[in-house]
Amino acid sequence: MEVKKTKEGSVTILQPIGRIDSNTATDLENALLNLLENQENKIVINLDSVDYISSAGLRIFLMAGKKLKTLDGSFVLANMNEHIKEVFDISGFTPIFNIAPDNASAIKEITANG
Amino acid sequence: MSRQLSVSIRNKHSEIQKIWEEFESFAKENQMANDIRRNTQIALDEIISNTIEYGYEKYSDDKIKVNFLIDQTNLVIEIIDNAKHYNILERDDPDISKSIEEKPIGGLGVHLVKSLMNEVKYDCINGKNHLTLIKQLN
Repeated sequence: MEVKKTKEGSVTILQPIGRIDSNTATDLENALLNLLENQENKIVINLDSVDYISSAGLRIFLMAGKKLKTLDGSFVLANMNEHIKEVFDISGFTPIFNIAPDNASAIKEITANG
Repeated sequence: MSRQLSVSIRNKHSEIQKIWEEFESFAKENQMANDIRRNTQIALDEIISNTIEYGYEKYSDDKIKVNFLIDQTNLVIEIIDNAKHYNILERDDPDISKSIEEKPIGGLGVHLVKSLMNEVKYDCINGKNHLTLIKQLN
């Protein structure tokens, strides 16, 4: 899958396009691991172009969330559609991730936290 | 309008795409709501990727067959494979209340299938796994 990358000051925004499932999740995983290797650990995932996420995608978010906790980084998910929200709720992911309604508030949340 | 669809794929992750393409046109033809289409695609991804990953021997030339049927009220999906016998209903549900540090990576797929579908049934018929997923259309 295509994963677009943009920078907003010290914050990196990743925008995956399409569905995040067993076939495509590795592309997002590689993009995230690449950022962590380069110490880019203030990350927003913009989900506005994602149709749905299966457990293969949830696994990537969990991996990134765990790693960023140990690296003292920040990780915010923005622009989730209703369906992704439902999958997050079912999986118990909603309370453990930082979720913002849009990119601007996601960036604000990260920069406010240093 | 075709109310039935049958797709067979080989035991490879890249083959799942074939099911998406056929199912997406089937969903469109039958004016299926987007949330039903998405829930079904997630459930299929969980089941089929599990079979490919754990059920069959790697690189074997085995097949997985998926039958879709729309009746008056439901979308009924039957997934048939010849892999190791595996009844997903015997799996315990994960504890979803754990914190990010304690949450294990994995184990959520079956939980998603059970939550997103209205009914899940398993049978072993003539040595084959038959998994039936039912999703109400309204």
